Amino acid sequence: MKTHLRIRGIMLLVAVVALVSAVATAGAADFYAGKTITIVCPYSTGGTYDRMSRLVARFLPKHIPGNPAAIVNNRPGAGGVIGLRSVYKAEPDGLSLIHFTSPMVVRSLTGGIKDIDFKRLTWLGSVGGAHYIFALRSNRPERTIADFKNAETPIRVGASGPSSLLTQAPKFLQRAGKFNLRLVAGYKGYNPMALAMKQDEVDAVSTAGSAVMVNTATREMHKDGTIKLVLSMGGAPPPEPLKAEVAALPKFVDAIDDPQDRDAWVAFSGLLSASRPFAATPGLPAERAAILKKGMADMMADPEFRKTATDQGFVLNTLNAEEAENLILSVFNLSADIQERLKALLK
Amino acid sequence: MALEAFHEALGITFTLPVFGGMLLGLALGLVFGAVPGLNAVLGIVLLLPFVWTLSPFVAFAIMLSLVSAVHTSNTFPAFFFNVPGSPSAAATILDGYPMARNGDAARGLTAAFAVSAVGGIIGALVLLVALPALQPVVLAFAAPERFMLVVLGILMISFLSGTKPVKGLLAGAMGLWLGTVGQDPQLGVARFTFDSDYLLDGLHTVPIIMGLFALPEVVSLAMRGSIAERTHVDMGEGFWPGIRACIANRWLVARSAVVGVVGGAIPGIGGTAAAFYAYGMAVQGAGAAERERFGKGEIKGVIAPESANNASAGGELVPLLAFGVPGGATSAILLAAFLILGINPGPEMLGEKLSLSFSMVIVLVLSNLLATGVCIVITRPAARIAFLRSNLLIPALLLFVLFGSYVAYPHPLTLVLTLAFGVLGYFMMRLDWARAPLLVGFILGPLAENNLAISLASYGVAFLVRPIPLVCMAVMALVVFVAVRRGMGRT
Repeated sequence: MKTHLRIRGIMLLVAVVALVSAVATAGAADFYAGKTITIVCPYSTGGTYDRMSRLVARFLPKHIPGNPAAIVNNRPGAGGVIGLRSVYKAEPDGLSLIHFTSPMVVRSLTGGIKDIDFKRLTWLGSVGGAHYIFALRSNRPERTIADFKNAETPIRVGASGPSSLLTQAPKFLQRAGKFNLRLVAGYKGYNPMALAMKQDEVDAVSTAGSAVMVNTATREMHKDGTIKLVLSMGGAPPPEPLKAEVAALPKFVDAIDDPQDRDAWVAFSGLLSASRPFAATPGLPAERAAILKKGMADMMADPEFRKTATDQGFVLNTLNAEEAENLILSVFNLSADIQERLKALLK
Repeated sequence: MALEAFHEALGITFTLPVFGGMLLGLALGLVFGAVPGLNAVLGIVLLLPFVWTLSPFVAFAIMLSLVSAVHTSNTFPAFFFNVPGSPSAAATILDGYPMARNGDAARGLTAAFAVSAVGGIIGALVLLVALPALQPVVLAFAAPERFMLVVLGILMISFLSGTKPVKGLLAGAMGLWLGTVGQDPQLGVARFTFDSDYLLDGLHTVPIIMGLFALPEVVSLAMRGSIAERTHVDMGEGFWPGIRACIANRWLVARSAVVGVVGGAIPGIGGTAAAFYAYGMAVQGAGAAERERFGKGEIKGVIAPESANNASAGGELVPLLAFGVPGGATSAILLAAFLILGINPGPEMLGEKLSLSFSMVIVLVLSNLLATGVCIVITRPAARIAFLRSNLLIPALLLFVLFGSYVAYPHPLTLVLTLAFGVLGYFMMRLDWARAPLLVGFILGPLAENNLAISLASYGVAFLVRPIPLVCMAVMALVVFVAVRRGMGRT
């Protein structure tokens, strides 16, 4: 009898919890009806993060109960910090999202971003990761890790601004891999760097494999053999057309002799695996966070979204909210020594 | 195959959706050009969310006609308010505004619009004929060549300074210094930012132009009563003299269009700088007596930059279509539109997508002609603005200036910056300091710095002995020699 009563009690409790949660979810769903979600893109219009933000603004609403509208607001400045700060300090109502490059979190380790605690953001998932490669002009003789370390003349590698991945990746090659490189910095993104490679102004670039394939200049140079992929740096799985080629390349992690440098690189390459995260304001009500996370996961599984993104040249290595959060925040779990080493490598 | 593709493009361009799209883009572009602060980039950004719903032919018809129309109608505010409708018309204000003050707006505007059409068409035709031929030109201009070209541009400051070369050079130096504000592009060191995130990306061009040129005119307008100093002028006398001026200066129009195409085609140079180059060349090529008239309402000072800035639209498409590398801010958005539509610009634009390339050229030609036609028709009523009372104009002008600055970079400090440059511009005007050299220094300074750093890192000092830099240095030596000889001749 007692057991029977206990079972009935438990069933009643489950029913009450289910009812309360259904009411709460329905409330949250009602919340989104007629509302507008703003996706802040902290970079200028026309770039890959802007295009992905627009794609998500187009597809996410149909996976959110209440089908809200969604718009993109470009807030460039200070390497993305101005846009990120606007979402970080926004009302925690689930209407402000941001899409940014995950290696930005390293700047909070290096002191570049002081007023944003990345651990407090509401992580929603990552729509893509990058597999970084080292591409070299074929007129250079170097092909192996030993060649890169002992190159007779420094290999000129294109680089962008100091906080760009296009600068951070070659810094790892130079400082952790001890490659004989000379960084030619100042290119405003990958497109001018690709043109510089065609002009023989730089010998190499260290970038995402997908960028090599999307940019016309490097795609053609890769096709006609003017450039060769010579090293796999790691991150997310490489894009399909490059999979076999990348699998046969030497791995950058094998070029790093110092164990602390290797740990620092492994943590950093984890960020590359979740390099296109979406996040919302900290302190979101749990049910709204759940709706956004589920909406994002459903959108990432939507065949129409996947096809459209792929047609636009994106490589979708999607991660759900938890996977993205764990990968991105893992840099904060590194020992103090490794964090220091990471800072030194990226300085 | 090319002929077939051309016929196909012609047929598609004259279908209702594409032609209608072109007219829509034209209407939007005329507004975005004429309202200070709105510009082609902003216009096509607003269209970007809808691009995926359209066919590539319709999408590019709207976007390219918008860009052409902006390059044409941005002349109106340059003439009437001493403020360019968009940065590419910045060089037009040097003689456009004085023409309006002289009551000569109708002639100047007619000439400006006519050469805009010619420049735009030359740009489109060069794109059509020389796309394969221009690829080597784009490739030949690496960082050392761009650096030398920019230094040549900075030398031009002496031509923008009227009869006060020392003041002009000092203003140019101030512009170069203002261009260093923000994060150093190589090392990331913050310069003159005072720990402000706003300044980390440097000062922004639009608030500087608005403050430096437009705000002082508001004060001056309040004192004068109306833009034009003459109280009456026959509007009918402007049209044919304007057309005749274009015909008389046909070689200047053609030269400036070539400068515009090449400037647009070299990534990082762009239409604004090209317009200043064309202006500098016009001054350089003028006789001694004529040179004195530049800055005071000389029609050649309007013809040269207007031809160049419209031609640059076609030029900007060359690196975009050939290499997928945008030549400037406008083509960066066009690249996004290409990718959103699933098209990778590159060799296929000359192969399987040839009809789309042809359609883009046809749209550029048509929209330049139509924009010019519309602008010429409204020139006579618009020229009456020059005779309106200042109490009607000042509130509208102030609104446009502050709104335009804020739209360009939405931040409260933008308004502070605009007002600060307004004060600076006012004192420069009162003390007879040319303001154009400051703007040219500000625009070209960061380009020079970045290209010099890349050149040194990549080639070492050997970059100086590459062929194009050597030619540029020879031209610079010649320019300095001629300027010094002229100076000695005067004394």
